[in-house]
Amino acid sequence: MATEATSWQKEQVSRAYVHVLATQGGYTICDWNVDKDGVDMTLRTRGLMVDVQLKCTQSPRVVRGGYSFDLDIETYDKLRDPDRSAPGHLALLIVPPDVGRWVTHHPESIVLACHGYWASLHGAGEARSKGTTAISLPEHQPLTSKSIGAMFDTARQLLSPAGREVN
Amino acid sequence: MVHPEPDFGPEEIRSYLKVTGWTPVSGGAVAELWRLPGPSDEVVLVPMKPGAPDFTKRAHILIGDLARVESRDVRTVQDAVATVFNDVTDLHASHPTLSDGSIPLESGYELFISAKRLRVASAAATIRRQGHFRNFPIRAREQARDVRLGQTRRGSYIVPIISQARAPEDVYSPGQDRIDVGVEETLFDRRVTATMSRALGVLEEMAGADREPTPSEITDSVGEGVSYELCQALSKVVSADAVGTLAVIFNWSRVAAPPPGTPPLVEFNQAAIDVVDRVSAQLKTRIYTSRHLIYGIVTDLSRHPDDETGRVGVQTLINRRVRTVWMDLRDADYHAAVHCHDTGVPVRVQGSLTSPPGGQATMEVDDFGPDPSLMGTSLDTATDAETPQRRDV
Repeated sequence: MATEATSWQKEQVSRAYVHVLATQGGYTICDWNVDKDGVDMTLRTRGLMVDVQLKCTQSPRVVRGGYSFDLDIETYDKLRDPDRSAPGHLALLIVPPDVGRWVTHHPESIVLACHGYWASLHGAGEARSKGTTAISLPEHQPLTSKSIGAMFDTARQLLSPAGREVN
Repeated sequence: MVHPEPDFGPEEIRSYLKVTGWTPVSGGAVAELWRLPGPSDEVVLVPMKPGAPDFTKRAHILIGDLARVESRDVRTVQDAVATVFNDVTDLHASHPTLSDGSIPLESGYELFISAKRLRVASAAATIRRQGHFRNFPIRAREQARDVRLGQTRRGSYIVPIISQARAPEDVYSPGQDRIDVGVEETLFDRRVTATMSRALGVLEEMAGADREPTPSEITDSVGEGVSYELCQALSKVVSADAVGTLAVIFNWSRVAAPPPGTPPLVEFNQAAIDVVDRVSAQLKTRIYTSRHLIYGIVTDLSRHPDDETGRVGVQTLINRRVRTVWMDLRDADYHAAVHCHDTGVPVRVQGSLTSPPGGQATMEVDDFGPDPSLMGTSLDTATDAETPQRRDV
């Protein structure tokens, strides 16, 4: 029978997921216990940084070509701010409805039944709605160690004289 | 963990990195990467927009990185970055009974008040080398209001006085034709700290000598900034029951090298204060001559080939207003004026100033030269080339 996970369980499994990807990609991590500026995790490599707001759901809103998540405007505005020195991203992690299925053990592995998608919000336009705004997380942007590399490409562009033109 | 707003901005960070060996490798409007060559080849990110929502986070990460690289604690590095453009004067009171890092309220009060007294006395001596007997120039009182008090530190008892400094490259350009009021205000802070350091150094020297200071030595010490008020300020704090020794430590800004001839540390105990009290008593009865000090830049130079003196205009601040003070200088001083003008070095002139409201300000000069409060004022590179003629008169 499906059980609704608590928010801390969803938060921790999201962090674990990103930790694994970052480890595989060779990136270091700053975990922020208090989400004061819309950021849960900062990934780093050779001075470059990317910020990620993590969201986790057991019942994703499926739209054509991917998923959609309603992000509060305050967080959206912080992550999209063009003056940021590290680009802001939203990552949506999707876990099975049944908490018992999140992790399965095998003789030589454990399998985390979690998949994620990401969206770059850096430099995005002003939200048209109040309260929340729908962020599109397309299927072709799965959260992988390779896609974290793409986030760092954006971070690298911020360090060019025309960096603010990114997005 | 919630991080407090950083008390520094991109300029402090960049200057700190520069003086600690880092170099910029890339950068745009929002961020820069700086590198520290070495075995670990460190790279850090410098956020450039203090108003950005992630500035605090980036600053915190950066300070953490620097603390790790320098093997120092975060708080120390944060203070060092925040005060990179400041001179920090630590008043360090110690006594065997201060072992728990606290100080009796009355002694602490005296220490804090002395911080202000020392500053006002030094500011007054920076304007005019004389006793003021509570009749301080307004500028001297105002200057004491401009300086800040840092966080007190445990150990013995330390009160940090924070004042501004300015990197030499941010001062004046060669041939500068007018002073900058903002620059002058900053330079005044540095001059006051330099005066305090020199004056206390002279007092410490007199107190540590094998013999009593002679009347003429005491008179000469006035030229270095020693005053009745400075002696009194020192005496009051060291005479407090709970203060055995007062050490004054000058932590000069890392972007502006220490003024030449200033001691980094001076120390006074009760025995030293006995001497200081005698100096103070003599200064109290001394008849002062009014010798003004002006600081500024040489903006006008004129001299006929056959003249013994040259006419020099020095732009300065008098009562916080920009004025040009005219003076006639003999050959060597005129050479120095030309050199200071050509290299953008501020000058210090001592003498008798006449400054009628609305009229031309003039000075009978006793002493003329590059401002010793600032680095880059050496005349070592001055040549003996023929004095250039600036303008026929």
